[in-house]
Amino acid sequence: MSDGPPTSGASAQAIPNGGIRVLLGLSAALVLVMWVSRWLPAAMQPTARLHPDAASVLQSTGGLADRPEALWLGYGMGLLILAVMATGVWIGLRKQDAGTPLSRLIMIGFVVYALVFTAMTVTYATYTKSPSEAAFFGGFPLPTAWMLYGMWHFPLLLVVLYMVRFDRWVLTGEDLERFRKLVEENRRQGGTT
Amino acid sequence: MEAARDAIILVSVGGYMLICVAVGVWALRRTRSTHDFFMAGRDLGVMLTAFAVFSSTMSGFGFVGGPGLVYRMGMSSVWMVVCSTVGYLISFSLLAKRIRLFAELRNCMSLPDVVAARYRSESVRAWVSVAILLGVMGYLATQMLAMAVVLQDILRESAALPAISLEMCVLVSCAVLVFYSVAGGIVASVYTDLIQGAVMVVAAVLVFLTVAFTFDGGITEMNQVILADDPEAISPWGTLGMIGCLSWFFVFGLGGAGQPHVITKMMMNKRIRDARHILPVAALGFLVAGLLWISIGLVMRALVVSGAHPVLATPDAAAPQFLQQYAHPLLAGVVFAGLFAAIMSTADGFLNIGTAAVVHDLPKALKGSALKHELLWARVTTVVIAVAAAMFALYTGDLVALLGAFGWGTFAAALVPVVAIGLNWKRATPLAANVAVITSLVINFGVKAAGMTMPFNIDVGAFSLAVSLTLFLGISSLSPPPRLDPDIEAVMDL
Repeated sequence: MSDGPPTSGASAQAIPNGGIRVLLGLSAALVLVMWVSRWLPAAMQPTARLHPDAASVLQSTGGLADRPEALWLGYGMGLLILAVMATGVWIGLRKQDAGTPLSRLIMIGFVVYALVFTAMTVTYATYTKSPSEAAFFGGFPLPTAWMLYGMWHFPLLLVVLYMVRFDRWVLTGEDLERFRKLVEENRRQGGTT
Repeated sequence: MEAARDAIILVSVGGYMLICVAVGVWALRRTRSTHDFFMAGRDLGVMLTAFAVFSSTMSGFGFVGGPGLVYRMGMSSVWMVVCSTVGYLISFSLLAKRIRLFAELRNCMSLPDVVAARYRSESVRAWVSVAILLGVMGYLATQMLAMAVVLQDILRESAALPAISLEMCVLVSCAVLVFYSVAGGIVASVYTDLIQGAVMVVAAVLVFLTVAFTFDGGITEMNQVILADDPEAISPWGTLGMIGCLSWFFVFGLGGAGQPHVITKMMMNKRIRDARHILPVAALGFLVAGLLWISIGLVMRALVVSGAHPVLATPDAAAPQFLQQYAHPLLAGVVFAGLFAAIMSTADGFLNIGTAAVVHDLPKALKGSALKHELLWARVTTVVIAVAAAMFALYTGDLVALLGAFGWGTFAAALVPVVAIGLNWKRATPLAANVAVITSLVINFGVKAAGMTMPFNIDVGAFSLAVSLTLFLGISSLSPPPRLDPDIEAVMDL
């Protein structure tokens, strides 16, 4: 088991890492948030108990209405997670370290996605103060409706964008032509793993 | 028809298993080489690949454990489903094009083949193979155990074989799985995935419609009952809390790009451009199948807290109880077949990648070449892994649950940096890749074995994913840039 010697292939030295630096910063921040939360006051932690009439069901002992710091911590962590996801998509869709129109459009999509997350959090903050007056949409309380119809379904629009623009911005005919030449060249040299 | 409920369920499950055996026999003739056995000859169409991707993602957990969690905790576990759409978008953006190009360029037969080509490193191949093998054993054992427990319940309920042992149920259910996996390799696996995915979608739609009409006031009334009992349960965070739910959103959303049994399927489509159609079909398939997870859990919680149904002994009884008490017998038959479909579609993928790790990747990493008679050894090894996983499931007690739970988060933390980011970033180094895999194994296994818990119910897989990603990016950034093979560098530019 050994690692092969370097080949004479072109060096990766000159490759810019803008997106990667952002991803590194975001993932490090996420580690920090998760680690530091260990030392936050116990009163901020969510609590649940066994349901008094149904032992296999958990019942919460209060929402975040009386723990606004936890709500803000969660909101910040949620935005961090969305930013990590958006950066991941950007890295996957860029070409030669430059953004494509598709990656930029999808970034705008993630900004809207963050707004959906914000709407869910804001409506939850209202809901948890007076749940008995909760407004319903599509069969669910408003914040849950944002979760199901927004957080779950909104990315379908970005999926459609990926599908429609794939040939133009993800893998063009020119790319495929270059790839065919690479494969032919490799086959001539008998290259496999 | 109600009197024939048990017979209908038995016939549905039996019929489904016979179809799987028939697919195995048919696929045997299409499997002539190891390339066919592991990669389906890289000849799959859009629907086959898409259904293979989504049905491999949705395991038996989605049909039993998922509804059980919703029943117990309210909306918390729904985040594992809600993240699916954005998760597939991330996986396809990072991997669908890149991994398929690598597979064709270097004629790769497994995920470790791809990383070995990318990093020019046999040590990375070895570590990735070890991570895959450990995860596969845990996942496979839990899937086999789940399949046997459900089969035992069905046979006992029907009074057909009331005294059947768990060992016999493992033997029967695994015999079908092993038969088609050995005979047809991944070809049988993806064709059964297509059937399994279709069964799951039909089952989920029918269950959702049944749930919608269980309460006179429909879904709104069902949710009002839950709200009156515990407002948090029907809020987006359930009883787990906001931060715990978001950690699931993170590890199940981003972590999808690290599940080897799923991303390996992205190497098998015939035309590279098909990725644009595979993504929406897979995302929609999972979205529909996810309805079953949510709807059964919510309706059973509402029925129990309102006193309309006796309290369940365990949360995992939510789906079986719903099907026995509230679903039409034919629907119960379809859903039980769907449950076996969900379990088998995940298990056959694991069996295949585990076999590839043993027969193809570890020999290459350790002695520099593949085994002779690789196809024969692949078939033998498939049986050996299945038997080992079955023994493991039956006789190692808590260790199975530990390794089963260890699966998703470990794969996510080990493979998202190494594969999903590494295939897109030329500066990623073999050292960073090895550190990411080892970190994932140490954190996931260490924390669970030590019985430690994270604050705010944060999932340990989410923490290990963030740590391994940070280490991978940090170490690579601080290391001298690696040199890449020219063809690999050219593909990474496309």
